[in-house]
Amino acid sequence: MLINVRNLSKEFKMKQKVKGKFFKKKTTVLKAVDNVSFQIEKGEIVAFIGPNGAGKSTTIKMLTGIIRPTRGDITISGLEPGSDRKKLAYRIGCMFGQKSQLYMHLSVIDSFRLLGSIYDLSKEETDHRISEISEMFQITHLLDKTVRKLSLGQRMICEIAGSILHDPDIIFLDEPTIGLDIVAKLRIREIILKLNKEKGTTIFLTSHDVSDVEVLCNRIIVINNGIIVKDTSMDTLKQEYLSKKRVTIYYERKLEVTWKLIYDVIGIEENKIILNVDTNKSHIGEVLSYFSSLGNIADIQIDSTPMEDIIKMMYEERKK
Amino acid sequence: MLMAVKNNFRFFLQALKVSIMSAAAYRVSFMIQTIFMFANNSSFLIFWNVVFGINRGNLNGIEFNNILFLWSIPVISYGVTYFFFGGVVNINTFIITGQMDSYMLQPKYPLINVLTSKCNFSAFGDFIYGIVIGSIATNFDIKKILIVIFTGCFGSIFFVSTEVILRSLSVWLKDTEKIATRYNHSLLTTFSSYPEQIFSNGVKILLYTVVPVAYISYLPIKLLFHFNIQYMMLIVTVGIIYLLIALFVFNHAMEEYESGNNISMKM
Repeated sequence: MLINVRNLSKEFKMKQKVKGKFFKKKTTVLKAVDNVSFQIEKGEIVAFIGPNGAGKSTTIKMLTGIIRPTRGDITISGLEPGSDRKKLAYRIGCMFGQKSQLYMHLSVIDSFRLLGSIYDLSKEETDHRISEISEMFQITHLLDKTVRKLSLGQRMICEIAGSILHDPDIIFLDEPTIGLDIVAKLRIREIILKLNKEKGTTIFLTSHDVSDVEVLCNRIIVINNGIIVKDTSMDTLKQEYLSKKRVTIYYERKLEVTWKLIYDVIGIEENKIILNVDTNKSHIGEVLSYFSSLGNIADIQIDSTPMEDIIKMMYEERKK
Repeated sequence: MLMAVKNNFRFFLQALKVSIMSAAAYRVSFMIQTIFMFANNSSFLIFWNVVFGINRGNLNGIEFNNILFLWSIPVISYGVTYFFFGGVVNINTFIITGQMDSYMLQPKYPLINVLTSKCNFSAFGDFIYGIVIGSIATNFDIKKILIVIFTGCFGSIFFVSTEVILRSLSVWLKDTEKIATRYNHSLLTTFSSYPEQIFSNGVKILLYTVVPVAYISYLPIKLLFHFNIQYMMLIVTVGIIYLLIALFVFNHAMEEYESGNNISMKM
């Protein structure tokens, strides 16, 4: 077992001013992570998802040794992140979408070389790794560019490249596709899958993007309010939740619907029909052919169920 | 252990080189700030020159040379601190905004990364200015110039340590930016630019303990007039004590560090 987390909790003490008292402060305790346990095997790609403030980042920060847990145990490759932080750093790679590891004023290659010396790689080893990774990620043309001049997508790819320079066993990716356009997103996903397939790297990622999770992961752990709501395989999740699509059909003219619709229609407005479709039960082509018989279709929009809604469903099921 | 120290030192040199390289990317700004700092410091000496001219070269036993040394040794310390270790002023911001995360993820001592994360251009002007004025004040006596440079560079330990201590307290006291700035600019820098003789004994006790001006200014100047190995040992010992306290506070602060979620880039 590569990662073993048992009864992990993190509490933050928040001090608030007491109205009318200058020096007096009231201390409240915020439970960011509450008694969380899970295990991850080598080579897994695990999505760790949840809404904002659910405890995802706090958990990753405890796993990587940035902050210490209030209670519970973590072992990663047999090391305890709190006390073996430096040893663990050689075994893990991290990429936080909102925090850069690269140096803004330096070229990509100089940033990589500095990272090489951080991980005690010799000059030859560093140069070898840089050429290997740049080929793998197809970023050779970016190496001489200054980091601040890269586009967001290019920077994210270089961030991932930088985080695996020391050839880690596990990579923690926190929102790796945040703010990226679809082309850059696809490129990042391709790279993540390649890393897992070719190097056997274990990937632990958080994302708000359902499609990231759907394409990349073989397992999903959902956290909300610091508690694990679901820990399941991607196949099960797809069957249970990701098969539910929201379809919006726009007609050329206003519809006069006087008959009962056979699908789960949740709204009809002038020339628009919104319905939920479970792709496990109905084929999307059949649904569209049924609705095209009602009038001339001007446009169609098909959305995955938003992550927040999926988590809400899971949370409600858990309460039941 | 020895290997870890060696690796950390190798990384420190590499990070320092990168920090200076980043500063060098803005050559014109670097040159302008260096020249302006040179001019700024010179204006104080012009003022003292006028005062000594009025008082016929002697002010209650203080000679103009004393003033030149006051504007040399601590200025070198200040220059070394903020040019080579300019990132020290970022500690509190990194703690509050969670930017310490990326350093905590690396296998190197985070303080090295933080210290070398910024290079203050104008401090290079202080550094050069201090050496030039010190050389003039010693009448270009090589032995004395070496004492000026050594005590000046060693004095940066006091600046760095006090900055590290006060800014690391941000973990417990929220933002200590103002406390650290006031301490280093209003107490350490200001007191070090006036001769020891003008202060009462009560103030002197403070200047030999909690505000270590004596070790970056008064004792080094005494060494230049009458070299005394005990003074030298005292400066080095107190410097090491300050450094150890700084490391203790920083390490403890990192254990209590609770991160944050601000979006950030390394500069």
